[in-house]
Order: sequence, then structure tokens, then C-alpha cells
Amino acid sequence: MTITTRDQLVDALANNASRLVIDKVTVTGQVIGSPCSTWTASGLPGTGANPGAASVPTKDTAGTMNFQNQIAPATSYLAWLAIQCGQAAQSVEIHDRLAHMGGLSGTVTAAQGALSLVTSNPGEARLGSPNYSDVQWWLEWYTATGSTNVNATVNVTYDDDSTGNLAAISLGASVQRGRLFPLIPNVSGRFIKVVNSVTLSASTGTAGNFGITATRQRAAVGIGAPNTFTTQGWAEVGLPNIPNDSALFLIVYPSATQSGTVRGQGKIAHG
Amino acid sequence: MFQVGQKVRVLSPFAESFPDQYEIVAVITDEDGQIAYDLGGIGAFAPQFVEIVE
Repeated sequence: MTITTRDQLVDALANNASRLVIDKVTVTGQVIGSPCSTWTASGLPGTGANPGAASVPTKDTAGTMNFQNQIAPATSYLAWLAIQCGQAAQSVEIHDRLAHMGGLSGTVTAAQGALSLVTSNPGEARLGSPNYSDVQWWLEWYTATGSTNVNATVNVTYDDDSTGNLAAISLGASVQRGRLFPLIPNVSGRFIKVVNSVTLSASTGTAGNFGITATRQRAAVGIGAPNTFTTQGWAEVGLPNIPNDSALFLIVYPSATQSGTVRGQGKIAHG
Repeated sequence: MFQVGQKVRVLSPFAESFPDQYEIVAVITDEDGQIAYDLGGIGAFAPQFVEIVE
């Protein structure tokens, strides 16, 4: 069964829902308007560990929001959100962290790292469209790299098995923990399914730690005034399905050079 | 080793994104002794990613 009527939705929200609790500390060293991962920030959900080899996080991985898996045909939908931030005029997104890897070095100029959604596969329900068009790819920073201004070139395999380099990404200098750099397909109409390697144009001067992350956005909330809740009911949040084992975490688009505190609650309705 | 003021072109895999000629504005040596050529606004490049323009 799935939730197909308003009465079923009301009943699920009241009587058969998993509650999400959000209380994240600020992440410093950010760039206004550039995405910031709260993966390594302490609070609720807890601090995520820096990944090593490629792996598929689940709802039970530290750093994600836990909820009750369902037995088919029962399903789960994100049906209510109330989020506030410590600073004004920014956005908060909830993503399913599909796969990740870390341990890349800011002093290595040879090709390094790889992440494949073919081999590190979270399952078709979490992936969404089979052509990978629902997936967002990122370079994610876990420990700051050095002060030299460098670029990254990322080699990928697209959904049609063609390969190529993305446009070079200007990383800038002194990239801090939490920074996310989106990986954008360089071929119109194609979608990334594998990142084959990352090549830095020069040593940044400090190894740091960064990696490759694949996510799928499930919800987005715009924040107006600081410390004031933005509430989204089922219609506003759009009832995105939350497949079993989804590894839900937060990405913030900050309005200052830190993410600001993020607090809130949500409900995943089951039925 | 190249010198400040010399003109270079950027090589693969960065050539497509930086197709012009650029001037070396600084030579950087990190703590590990790795050299990089600062090409100004487009950032720094290791020696294997640049060649002198004749």
C-alpha cells in the first residue's frame, strides 16, 4: 500500500511517522552562496566520519538521520519540515548521501580517487532515475588543504559509457572543511555515473583530506529571518519518497562565511 | 625550471579549460619541495602541466 489520500496522510503524520531532529553547530570557513556540507559538524544528526574507501552510507551510518525502514508495499515520504538557522537569508537542503569516498590529498598532482555508482550502488530506489539524472556529484572537504590557489580536473564516465573531463574547477586557496564543489556534466544531456579520477593542477601545500560524494536532493527549505522557523507541510515539501536506508543529511547554502546553526524537526510519514 | 615573466601554455588535462597563453607571475615551492608556477588569476600549475611558448 502507498499513501494515496489526504486522510491516509493525516493518519500517517499523526500515528505512523518517524521524527527527524536537527541541531547542527555552525561550520566555519565557508564561502557565501557556495554549498556547505554539515556532514562533519557535531550535533544532531551526529558527526559523520571522514570516509576512506568508497562506501554506501545508510540511515544507520553516523552523520545521518535515522528513521524506520518499511516493509513493501508500505512506503515512506518526507511530509513535514520546520527548520530555522542562526543567520538570515540562506537555504537548507536535505540530501540522501548515496555514496562517498575520502582520503584524497591536496599535495598530490597525479590522478587520484574514484567513485562509481555502479559498484558502490545504493539500489535503484535511492538512485532514482536509471540514467543517473537525479544524482548530484561533489568534491567534499574533510580537512583544510593548503594556501596555493589550484584547479581540479575531474574525469568521469557518463550514463552512455562515454568518458571525458569536466571543465576545470577553480578550488581557490585554503579550502576549508565542509566546502562542496559541484561536479557538472560537460556534455549536454548526459549524466555522471562514475568519477574516474581527480587531478589537481598543483600542490596546495598541505595534504588535508577531501573526497568524492554522490547525493540525491530530497527537500529544500528557504530561510528568511534568523532564528525563525520556516515550516513546510506535505504540499510544500512535496512528499518526496524516502527509500529504505536513505542516508539523510544537510547541505547549507550560507549567507555568511559560516553555515550558521541549523535547528529543526521533520516527519517521515509511513504507509 | 621556468622563470617569472615567461609565457607558458597549459597542458592536458587542463588545456581545454585554459586555452590561452599565460605569464608566470610567481614560482612557488611547498614544504615538500614541490614546485608550482602561479599563472595569476587562473591559479597555480605543476611543471608537468605547463610548457614554455616559443
